[in-house]
Amino acid sequence: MAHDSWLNDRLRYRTTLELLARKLVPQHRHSFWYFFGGLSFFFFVIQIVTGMLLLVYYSPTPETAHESVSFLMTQVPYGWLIRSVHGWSANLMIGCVLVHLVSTFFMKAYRRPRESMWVTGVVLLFLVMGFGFTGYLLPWDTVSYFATQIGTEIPRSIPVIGSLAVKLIRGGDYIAADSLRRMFALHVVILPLISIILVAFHLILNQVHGSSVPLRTNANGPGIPFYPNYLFRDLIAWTIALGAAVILALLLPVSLGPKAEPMASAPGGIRPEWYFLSLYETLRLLPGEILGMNTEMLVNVGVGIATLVLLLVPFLDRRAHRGEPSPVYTWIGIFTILYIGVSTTLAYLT
Amino acid sequence: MTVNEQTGLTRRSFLGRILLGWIGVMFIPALYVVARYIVPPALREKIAQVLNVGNLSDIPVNSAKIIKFNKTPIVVVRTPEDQVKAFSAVCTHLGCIVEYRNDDNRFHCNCHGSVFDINGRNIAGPAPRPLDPLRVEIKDNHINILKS
Repeated sequence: MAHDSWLNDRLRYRTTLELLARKLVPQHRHSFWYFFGGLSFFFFVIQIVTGMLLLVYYSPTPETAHESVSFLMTQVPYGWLIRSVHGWSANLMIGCVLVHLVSTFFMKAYRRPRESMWVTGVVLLFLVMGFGFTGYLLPWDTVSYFATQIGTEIPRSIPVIGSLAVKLIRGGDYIAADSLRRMFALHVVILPLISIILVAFHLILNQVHGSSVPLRTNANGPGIPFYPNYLFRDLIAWTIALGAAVILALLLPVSLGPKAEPMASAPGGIRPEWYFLSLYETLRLLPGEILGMNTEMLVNVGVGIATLVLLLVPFLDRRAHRGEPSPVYTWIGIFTILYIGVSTTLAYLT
Repeated sequence: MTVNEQTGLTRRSFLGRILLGWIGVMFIPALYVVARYIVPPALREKIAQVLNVGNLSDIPVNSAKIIKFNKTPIVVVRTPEDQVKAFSAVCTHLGCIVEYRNDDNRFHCNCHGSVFDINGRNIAGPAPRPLDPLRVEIKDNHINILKS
């Protein structure tokens, strides 16, 4: 077709499609888990689109934030739907990123030469959790206010830099207008920019290295072309994901609590989002001091070490590099998931 | 390509190093400016030494009132024994504002379940230390809170 040729002469998209058609996605009994990478990306795109729409009405000051969200939900046509899809898609995105990371971990897909993909993936997990944390305060309701108060207080016990870290996050000593502005800037500009760069890097590496086949797993033939075969499967998964986000938004719309009153006592039932509940329960169950040391400080140090180990897994697990089973890492992974699962359930039950 | 015998550098690699050095020289001060910029400056606010809470009758026996003293929320409580006490209302665990309950005469933090007795001592939950006490002065039926 003439217009097709005209476009291709200028954009050279056929070259890209030919490259993507040559790229093969392995097929084996665990290849179902590959979908979660694509789903994470899809939810990220939904977040950007719905986030831009929310920005049209949102106003980031303590005096106007709650009112603007309330206006959006009650007066703006489909405002409640856009906000609910944003909220549910955020949760689904974090869930998919977690499943993607866990499946990558157990399939040992971090082994050479995919170490950089693992590291960028872990950083992206922390970034999406950062999106959740910074976005939580924006409606400026009671629960979000006190949950952010607690969350931003945790780093205070980090030796040497703790107080400065709290001040940097809050923009002052307490959660106030400066904190809201900082969270807003992080949520809508800084984190998205960093994330887009990292997602692009992660995807390019995925195209370069291809998907990893787990150890001791027989692939069914050479695999299927990424374009159009695998992309079409991805599209089916994405339509199901969009449907799930919309149905959840319709059945369980995201609510807006009473406006935050910084001088009131914290009400009962202040809890963070589900992905922080394990940390919340750990802090709740532990006494204020352990062996004369501040518990928050110990928890901070523990989280810091765990994060470092998680980032360095590809460089620590030498057996996986050699193509040998590494049951120690598998058991560490199982124990960590059990701990997070049990503590999160406990937090829900209590 | 001409290589300098003494340094082993070509013209291109020498220029490359100059460029990297130049970027470094530009980057470090920029980083310093950004680091200073994001640390919020200390506000020059007048710090009050005394806060007049109001009349004694404003706080009935066995009840409490939360107000702001400078930037800190404080709780002023009139005990069942008709004593007036004041503490920082900020829980010493993770900074939530405590609530006085007149059924057990204790301060409760609803965030993580810390409990403080009527004297501000931490008696249950994860709070590592007592609520910070404040001095109370009653003059002509007026409650004044003094900075400790």
